[in-house]
Amino acid sequence: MIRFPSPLSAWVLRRLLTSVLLVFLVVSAVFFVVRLAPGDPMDAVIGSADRDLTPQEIRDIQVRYGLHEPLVKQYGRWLSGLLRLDLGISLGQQRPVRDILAGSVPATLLLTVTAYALHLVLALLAGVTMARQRGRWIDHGIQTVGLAFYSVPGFWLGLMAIMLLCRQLGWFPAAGMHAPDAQFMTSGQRFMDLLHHLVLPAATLALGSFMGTARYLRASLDEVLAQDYILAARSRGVPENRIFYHHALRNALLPMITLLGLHLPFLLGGAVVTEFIFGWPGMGRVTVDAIFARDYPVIMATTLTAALSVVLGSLLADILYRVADPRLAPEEEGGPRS
Amino acid sequence: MTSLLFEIRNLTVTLPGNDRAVLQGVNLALAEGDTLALTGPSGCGKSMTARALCGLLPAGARWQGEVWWRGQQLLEPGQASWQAMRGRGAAMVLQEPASSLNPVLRVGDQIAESVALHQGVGMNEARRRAVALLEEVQVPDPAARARWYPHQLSGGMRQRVLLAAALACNPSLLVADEPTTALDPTVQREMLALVDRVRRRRDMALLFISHDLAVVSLMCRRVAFMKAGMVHQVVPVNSHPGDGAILPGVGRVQETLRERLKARGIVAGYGPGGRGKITSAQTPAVRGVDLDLSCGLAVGLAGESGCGKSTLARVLCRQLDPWEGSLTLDGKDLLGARGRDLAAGRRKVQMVFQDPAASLNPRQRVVDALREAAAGTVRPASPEQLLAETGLGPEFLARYPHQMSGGQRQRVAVARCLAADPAVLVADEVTSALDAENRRQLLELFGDLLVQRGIALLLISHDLDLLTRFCQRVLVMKDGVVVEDFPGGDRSQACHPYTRDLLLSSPRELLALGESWSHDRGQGQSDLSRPADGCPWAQRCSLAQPQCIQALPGLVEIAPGHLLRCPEAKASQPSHFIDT
Amino acid sequence: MKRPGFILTTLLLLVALTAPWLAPGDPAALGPVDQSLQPPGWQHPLGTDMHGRDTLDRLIHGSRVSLLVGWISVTMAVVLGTLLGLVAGLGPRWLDLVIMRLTDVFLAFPRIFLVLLLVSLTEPSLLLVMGVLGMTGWMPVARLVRAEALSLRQRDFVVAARGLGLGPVRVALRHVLPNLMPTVLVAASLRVGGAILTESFLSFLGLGAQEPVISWGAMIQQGRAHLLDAWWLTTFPGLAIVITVVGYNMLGDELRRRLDPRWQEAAGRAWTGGEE
Repeated sequence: MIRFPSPLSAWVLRRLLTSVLLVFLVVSAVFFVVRLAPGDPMDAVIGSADRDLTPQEIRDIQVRYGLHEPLVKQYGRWLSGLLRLDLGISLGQQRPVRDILAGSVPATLLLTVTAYALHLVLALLAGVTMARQRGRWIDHGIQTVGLAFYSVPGFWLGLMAIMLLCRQLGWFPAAGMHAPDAQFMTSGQRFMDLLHHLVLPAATLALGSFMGTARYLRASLDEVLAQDYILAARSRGVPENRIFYHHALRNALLPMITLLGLHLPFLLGGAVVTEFIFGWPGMGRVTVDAIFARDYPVIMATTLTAALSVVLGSLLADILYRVADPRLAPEEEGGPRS
Repeated sequence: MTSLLFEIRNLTVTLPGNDRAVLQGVNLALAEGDTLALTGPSGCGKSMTARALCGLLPAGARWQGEVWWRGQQLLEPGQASWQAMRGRGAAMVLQEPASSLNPVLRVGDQIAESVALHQGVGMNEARRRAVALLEEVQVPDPAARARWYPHQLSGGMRQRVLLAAALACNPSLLVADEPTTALDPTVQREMLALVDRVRRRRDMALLFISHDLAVVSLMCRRVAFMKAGMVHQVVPVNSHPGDGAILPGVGRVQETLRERLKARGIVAGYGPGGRGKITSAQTPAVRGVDLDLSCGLAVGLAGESGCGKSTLARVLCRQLDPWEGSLTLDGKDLLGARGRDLAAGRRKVQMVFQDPAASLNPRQRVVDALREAAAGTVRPASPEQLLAETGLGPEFLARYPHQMSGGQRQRVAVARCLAADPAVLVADEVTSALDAENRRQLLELFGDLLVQRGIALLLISHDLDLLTRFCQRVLVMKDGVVVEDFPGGDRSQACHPYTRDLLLSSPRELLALGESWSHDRGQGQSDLSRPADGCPWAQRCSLAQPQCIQALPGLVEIAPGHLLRCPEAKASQPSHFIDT
Repeated sequence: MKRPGFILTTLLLLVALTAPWLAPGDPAALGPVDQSLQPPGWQHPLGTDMHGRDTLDRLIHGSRVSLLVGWISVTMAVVLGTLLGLVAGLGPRWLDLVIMRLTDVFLAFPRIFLVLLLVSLTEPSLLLVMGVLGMTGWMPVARLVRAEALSLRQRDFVVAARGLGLGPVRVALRHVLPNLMPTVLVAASLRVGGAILTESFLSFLGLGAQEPVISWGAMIQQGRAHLLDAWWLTTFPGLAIVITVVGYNMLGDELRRRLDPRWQEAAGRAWTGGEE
C-alpha cells in the first residue's frame, strides 16, 4: 500500500516534478539553440579540413554525426542518447564526450567546493563583523575592500596573482593541478602537491564572490535586529551577545540556505574564468577550448552539465530551507493553524 | 503612601536624522503597585516614553534628563544598572503579537530563557516553570503549547505567551504598549481582564499605553495625556471627558427608500490557486449572505477578523467573483457584466479603504488622481468641487499623498470615490486608522453624503458599538454568515448571544460594569476550530443546544426589520444575556 | 551628501565622450619602434605596448567600448525584463506560468556558459556581444518586476484604480510602472558592472570587440605575453575595469538609498509626523 503523503513529501514531490520539467526544457533549449543558430556545426568540421572536401566526403561526415536526418529525428536521438548518458562524439578530439566530461568534472568539483567553503567562511566573518560593528571604521573598511574584490574581473585577479605570487615570488605553481613529476610521489606528497596547486584558483574564486553573500547577510541581520522580537527579548533583559547569536543570527542565516542555489551558477561561471587562467583541467577549461575549436557536442555537454547542476542545487536548497524553517515545516503536533 | 517606583524628570529625546525632539521635557512618576495610563494621538511620543524608561531607545538616539528607578539614578543606556532593571524591574509587552515572538524558537523556550536568566535556574527547571507561567496566563494545555512555534498560535495566544515571558522576570513594573490593539474585541476583553487580574495578584505596577480612552479607563487609576512629545496633564481616570458622546447619531430614515444594490446568496472565497493569497482554504469565506443597500441609508457590517466581511466588500465592488449568488444594481445584473459594462458597474460601487496612505498612488498628485477618476462620467466634476465637497481647499490639488496627514488623505480618497459619481460607497474599517477627532469628522462627512447625494453606504467595522450609534441597520457576521440583522440606534434590541458578547466586549460597555469587569468569565477558547456545520457561535454559547452544533439555524424575522439566526434567543428576553 | 559613485561614473562618462580630444590621433596606429615596451615615465605615464602605443591613450579609447556595452546591454535587458515581468505579474495566469518557466530555463544556465555558447555560434563582434549580454541579462529583472507587480496589484490604490473602471494597460502604465521604477533603476545600475566584467572576459578570450576597436579585455590579453617584462600592460587595463565597476556598484547603492521605497516611506513619515 502507498502511504498517504505528509504535506512535506507532497510538496517535495511537486517540486521534483517541476524540476524534471525544467530539466526537459533545459535539454531541449540547448539542442535547439545550437541547431537553429545561423552557424552550422558542419562548418566547423569542414573548415578544419586542410583541403576542400568532395560532396561525398561531406555526406560521410554528416552521416557519422547524424546531421543528415530531419531536425525532429536528431532531437529524438539526442534525447534518447542522453537517457543512456551518450553525449555524442567530440568533433575535435574524436572521442566520446562522456569520457571528456568524466575526466574534467571531478577537477571542477574539487575547485568549486573548496572555493565555496572559503567563500562561506569569509562571508560569515565579514557579514557578522559588519553587522556588529555597524557604522564604525571596521564596517566601512570591510565594505570598501569587499566592494573592490567584488568588482575585480576574475581573470585579471588570477593574472595578477600569477604575476606576483608565482612568477615574482615563486610561492605557488602557476598552472595545472599536479606537478610534472607527480606520478613519482608518495600519496601524501601528491596530496600536498594538489593542495599547493589548489590554493590560488580557489582563493581567486572565493575572493571575487564572497562580498555578495556578506552584504546579504549584513542586510539580513540589520533587518532581523530591527524586528519586534529582538526589542521584546531586550526588554526581558537578555544580554546583547545572546540576542545577536541566539536570536538574530539564527533568523538571518535561514534565508542564506536558498542562496546556495543561487550561488551555484556564479561559482560555475567563475570556475570557467579561473580554470582558463590557471590551466586547471576542469569543465570550464574544456568549455573554452571547445569554443575555440567549435566543438559543439562538447560545448552542449558542458553547458548542459552546468545547467543541470544548477537545477539540482536549487532543488536541494529549497528542500533544505523547507526542512529548516519551522514556519514551513509540517505540523508535528497537529496545531490548528498552518 | 507607598514609595516611588520610577520618576522621569524633564526627559528629552532626539532621534537620528530628525532635528525635532520626539520627547520634549517629559515628567512622569509612578508609585509601587500603582497604575498609570499614557494616551494621545499617534506619534505623540507615548511609545518612545516607554522605551526610554526601559533603556530601549533606537540606536543613535540622544537623550537628556533624568530617569530615577527606586531612588537610584540611571545614567547612560546600556549600563549595567539598565540591564538589571530590564526584565527584573520592568518588563514590556508590545503591540504586535505576530512579530514580537522569535519565529524560529519554540514558545516554551523563549519563556524559559527569561526564567533561566532572572531566576537563576537550569534550563530543565526553567522549562518546567515556563509551563507553569503559561498556565497562569490561561493558555489551555500549557505543556503541549510550550513546544509549539509562534506561527501555530492565534494572536490572542501569542499575546498571552508574551505576557508569560514578561512575567518570567518577576517584574515590579509591567509596561504594556498597545497590547490589545491588534486583537479582536472579544479576545481584547479576555486579554485586558487577564492583565488586570495578573497585576492585582502579583501586586505589580502597570504603565499602560493606548490610544483608546475607554480601554485606558478600565486598566488604570490615573491617565497622562500626551501631545507632540509632552505630557499635558495627569488626571484620575473618571474625570476626563469621554469621546463616545460626540459621535454623530443615527440619521432619520426616509419613508420610501429606493433600493439600489441587492445581493442574494453570495458565496465567495479565495480559491486554492488564488495568486498572492495566503489562505488556501477550500471553504468559502462568505457562506450565503443577502444584503440590500438603499439610497441615503447607512448599513453597518460588524464582525471579527476572518468573518468574511472584507471578502463580501470585495464582491460588492466587483473586485472578486463570487462562487455563487446574484448581484444587481438598480435591477441590472452586475455579475454577468464584462468589459465596458463591468467598468461602469465598478464605478457605481466605490470603496473607501482602511489605510488612506496605501489607497492613494504615492506618485500621483491629488489633481491628477481626481481628474483620472472623474474622466469616465458624463459630466465630470471639477477637482476643486470634489475637494470642497469633502471639506478640503484647492491648495491640496498640487500635493502628493506624503504631503498630507492621515485625515486629509482619507478625505482625498473619499473625493476620488465621489468623482466616479457612485451609487454605493463601501467603507472598509475606515475609522480604525484615525484618531477620535478625525474619526468624528469622517463620520460627519459620510452623514452629509447620505443626505445630500443620497448615497447608499455600507460601513464595515469590527467596532459594533460605533456601528449601532451611526447606522440605521446593522448586520453582524460570524464565520461567513450573518447571525443578526437589526435596526441601529437601539442596542437593547440585539439579541443573538454573539452580538451581545460583541457589544459587551466594548470597553465602554465594560466600564459600566464597574470594578467587577475583569472577574473571570471562563477560559479563552479562541483556538477552537469551528464546527463544520451548525451555528458558528455554538461552542462558546451559553444557550447552545445539541442541535445548534449539528445544523445552521435559519435567519428568521422576529420583528419588522429584525432578522435573527438563533432559535434559542428568540424565546428569551434580551436583557437576560447581559449578566452572563 | 557624499556621492562618490555618482561622481566617478559621471567622470568616466565624460572621459568616454571626449576621448578623441583627450587622446588625439589614431590609437590603433603603430607607434615608433624605439618607443616599444617603455615603462611608465614622463612621456608615457602608463607606459607603451610592444608596438610603441601609449597605454593611457588606449585606455581612454577603450572606455568607450566598456561603457557602450554596459549601457546598451543593460538597457536591453531591463526593458525586456520589465516588460515580461509586468505582463507576468499583471496579466493572465497562464501567461505568467509560461514567462516564469522561460525565466527558470534561462536562469538555469550559468550566464557565462550561455554567453560563450551564443557568441561562438557566429563571427565575434561588438554588436553580437551587446545583443547576447542583453538577451541573457533580463531574467533577474523580470523576476524582480514580477514580484513587485504582484505585491503592487494587491495594494489599495491599484484596487481603487481598477474600481474606477480603468483599463489594464492604463493601470499597468500609470499606477504600477511608476511605483516600480525605483526598483528597476537600482537593479539596472547594479547590473552595469556585471555586464562590463563579462564583456571584458569575452574580449580577453578574443570573442568580443575585434581590432582595430580597442577594449580593455583585449589589452589585458595582449599584455599577458609580457607578464614579467611589461607588468603595466596587464595591470592598468585591469585597474581601469575595477574602477569602472566599483563606480557603478557604488552608484547602485547610492540610488538604492535615495529611491528605495522603504527608505522614502521613513522619510515621508518623518515629514508628516508633526502634523498628525
